[in-house]
Amino acid sequence: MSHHKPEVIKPDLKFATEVIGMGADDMEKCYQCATCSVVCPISPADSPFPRREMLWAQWGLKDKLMGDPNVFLCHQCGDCSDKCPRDAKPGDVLGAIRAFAYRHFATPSFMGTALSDPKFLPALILFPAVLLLAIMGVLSTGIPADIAASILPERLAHLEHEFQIAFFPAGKIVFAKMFPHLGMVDAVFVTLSLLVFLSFFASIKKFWSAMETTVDLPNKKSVGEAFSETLSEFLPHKKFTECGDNKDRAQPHMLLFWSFVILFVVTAFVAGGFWVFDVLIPAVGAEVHNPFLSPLDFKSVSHIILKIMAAAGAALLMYGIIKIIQNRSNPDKKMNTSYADWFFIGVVFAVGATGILSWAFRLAGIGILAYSVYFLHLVAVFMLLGYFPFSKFAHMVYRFTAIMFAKVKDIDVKLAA
Amino acid sequence: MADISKPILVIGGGISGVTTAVEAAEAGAKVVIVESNPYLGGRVAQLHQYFPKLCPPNCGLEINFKRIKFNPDITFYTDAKVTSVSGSRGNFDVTITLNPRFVNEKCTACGECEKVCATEVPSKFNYGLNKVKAISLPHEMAFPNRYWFDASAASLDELKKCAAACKYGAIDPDAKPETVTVNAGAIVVATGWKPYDMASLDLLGAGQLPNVISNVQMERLAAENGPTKGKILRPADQKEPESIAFVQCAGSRDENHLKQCSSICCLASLKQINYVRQQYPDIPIYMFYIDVRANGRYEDFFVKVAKDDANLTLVKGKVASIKQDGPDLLLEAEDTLTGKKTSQKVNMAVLATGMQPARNGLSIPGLDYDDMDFVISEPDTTGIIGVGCAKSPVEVVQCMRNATGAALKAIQCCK
Repeated sequence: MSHHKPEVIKPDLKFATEVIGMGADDMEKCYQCATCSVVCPISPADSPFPRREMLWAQWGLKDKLMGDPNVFLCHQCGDCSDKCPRDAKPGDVLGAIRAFAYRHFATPSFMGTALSDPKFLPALILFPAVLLLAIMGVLSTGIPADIAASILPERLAHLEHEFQIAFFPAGKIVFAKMFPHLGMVDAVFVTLSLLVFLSFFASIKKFWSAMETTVDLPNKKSVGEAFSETLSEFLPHKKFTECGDNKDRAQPHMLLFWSFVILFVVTAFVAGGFWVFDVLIPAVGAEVHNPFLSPLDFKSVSHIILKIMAAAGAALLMYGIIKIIQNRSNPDKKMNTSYADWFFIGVVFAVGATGILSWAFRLAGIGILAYSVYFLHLVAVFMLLGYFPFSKFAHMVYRFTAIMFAKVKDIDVKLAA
Repeated sequence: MADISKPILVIGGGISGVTTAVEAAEAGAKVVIVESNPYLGGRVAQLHQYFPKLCPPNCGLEINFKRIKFNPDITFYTDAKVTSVSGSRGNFDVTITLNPRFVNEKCTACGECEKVCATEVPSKFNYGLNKVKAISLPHEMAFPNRYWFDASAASLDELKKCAAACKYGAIDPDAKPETVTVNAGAIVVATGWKPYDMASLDLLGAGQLPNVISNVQMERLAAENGPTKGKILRPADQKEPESIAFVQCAGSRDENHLKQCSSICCLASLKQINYVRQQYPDIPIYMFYIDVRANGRYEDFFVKVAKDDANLTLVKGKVASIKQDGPDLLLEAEDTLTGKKTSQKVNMAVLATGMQPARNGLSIPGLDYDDMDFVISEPDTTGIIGVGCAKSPVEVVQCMRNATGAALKAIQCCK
C-alpha cells in the first residue's frame, strides 16, 4: 500500500472483463471522485475503500486486489452505490471482485470454475442427487444392505432390521428408512465436512499470503487477539449495522446467520447423539437410544428443546432469506444481483423450504411427498455444505479472515464504541 | 440587405438574448425581446467579474443596453412571459403576457416609495444573502432603471402607501396584466440557466449551513453593488473568514443531480480564489476537485492562481460530506493522491454549483429538449434557435459567439 514508491504495474487484461461479467457492469464509469470512500461508514481512514479498488479493477491489477483485505471488509451496504455520482455501483464491483476471489483461491480450482458458470449448475445438482440415490440403493440393485453389512461394524447391525430399503418406504413416515443405514448419511456429510475444511485451509492460506504481499506493513497485534476482536464484531454484525441507506439488509442477514448457528447446533446434537448413544454405547453393551431424537424417549426435555430450536431456526432462516430475496428484487435499489448471489440465495432458500415442507408432509402423513421433498432437502444441504468454500457462502470465512488480517495490521476501521 | 419583414422573437434578455437581438437588429431585422426579470442582463448582471478579462458586468452590458435603447427595431418587454406559441417556421403567432406595470416609465428611481414600504423580502438579485423592500430597484445598474414591486410578497395596501409617496405618479396600484401578440418569423430561445439548488445537496449541508454558500452567492459577496459592498464576509456572523474551502462539482457530473459538467465552475472558482486572495492575502484557502477543467486559453490562468501561493492547498478528491462543527465547518474527502481520508476544518465553504437550464415553464410546439433539459436546436426545420446556456452550459464568450450565429440563423428563418 505504498503510494509513493515507484512500482511496476502488471495489469491482467482479462481480469477487468471477467469482473465486469461477474456483476460489475458499470465499473468503467468510475471517475475517481472518491465520494464512495467518504460515504462508506466502515471504510478505514488511512486505507479507505472502495475508490482505490475501483481504480485497481479498471486497470486490471488482479494480484493487488486478490490480496486486498478491503475487498472483504466491504459488507455491500450499498451506501457508495446510492451516492455514486456516476452510477458505477462500487458496491457491486466489490461484490464481483469477491466472487472472483472465491474462484481464484478455490482448492481444487475446478470447483471454483464450476461454481462461477451457470452451465455447470445441472452438474452441481445432479452430483449430490446421484450420490444420495446410490446410497439409498435405488441405483445399486438392492446391494446396499449387503454393503452396509460388510462395511459397517457389527455393532450397527442391530438397527438394520428396522429399515426397509425403498424410495418410498411403507408404514409410519421415518426419513431414516430411506437409507439402508442411518450411518451412511452421516458418513457422506462427515466426509464432506472434512473435505470442506481441508479446502478452506488451503484457500485461506493462499489468501493470507496474498494479503501479506499487497499490504506491506508490520504486524501490530497477535492473530489470537485479532481473532477474538473480530468474533466480537462478527456475532452481533457490528459492521453491517453501521450501514446507512441499506440498514434493512443487516437485520435479515443477522437472523439468517443465527438461524444457521441454531440449525447447526441441532444437527450436531442429533447426529452426535446418534453416534454416542446408538453406536458407541450399545457397542459396550448397553441398549440406550439417542436421547435427543429417540422415538422411545419422546418426552425427554432435551428432545423437546431440540424440536423447538429446529422449528425456530427454520422460521428464522425462511424469514431472513425471503427478506433478502425481496431486497434483492427491489428495483429501486442500486444493486445488481449476480449469478453467484442468486445461486447462494437459491440454495439457502431450497434448504429452508424443503426442510419445512418435508416436515409438514410428514406430519400430514403424505409419504410420497414427504420422502421426495426430504430427498431434495438432502440434495440442497449437500450443495450448501459441499460447495461452501466455492460459493458466495465462502464470504463468511474470507470476510472473517480479512477483518482479522486488517486488525493484525491495524488498518481496520475504528468503530465508535 | 435582406427583406426581413417579420420580427424575430427572442425569449430571454440575458447576455445571449441581448447579443442575438442587437446583432440581428443591426443587420436590419426587427426584434422583440421577452424577459421574465424586471431588468435585462440576466445572470451576467449578477456577476462580480467575468472572463476573459475579469471585467465587472456593466463593462459589457452597458454598451449593449445603449445599442438596444437607440435602436428603433428592438422592442423589449421585461417582467413578461411568452404564454402561447402556434404556427411554424416563418410564421409564429406568439402571445406575451405582461405582469401588471405597477411602476411605469415615469419612475425616476428617486427611492421615496422604498422609504415608506415596510415589507422586506429576500433579495432575488443577491441570491437571498440580504433583504430588500418589496418595492425596490432590482439592482443599481438595472436597465430599465425603474423600481419594481414584488406583488407576491406585499399587499396592494402597501403599494398604495408607496403610490402616495411617489411625486411623479409613477405607481399605479390598479395596473392589470396585459397581453401582446406578435407574428414572428423565428424564435430564439435564450432562456439561460439557474444555479443548481443547494437544498438538493444532502451530503453538502442541503442549503442549511449558513456559512456554506454557492459560487453565485460568492459573486454577490464580492461585488461592489452586493449586500456587503464587496467585502467578503461570513454570512452567519458578518465576520472576516479565517479560511475558505472551494468545493468543486457540487452536484455536477452527478447522475443523482446534474448530469453535465457545467464547464465554467473550475475557472469560476479559480477566479474567486484570485479575488479572495486579493482581499485576504494570508488566509488558508482549499480547493477540492475531481480534476481541474480549466480549458483552452484559460489553462494558464490555473497556473497563475495556483503557483507561489503557499496558503492555497489543492486536494484531489471530491468533498462528500460537510457538517457544522461548532462555529466551523468540517469537510471530508479522500485525498486520492495519498489514498487517505482527509478532514478539513474551515470557516466558510463555497459550493461550485453547476448551471441548470432555466426552462421557466416554456413550452413551444416543435421545440424539443434533451434529457438534461437543454434545447435541441434545429432551426432549419423548426425555425426555433437555441442559444447560449439554454443550449449547452458555456461561458460568456461562448454565449456571445453563439448569439452572433443565432442572429444570422434567425434572419434566414424570417426570409
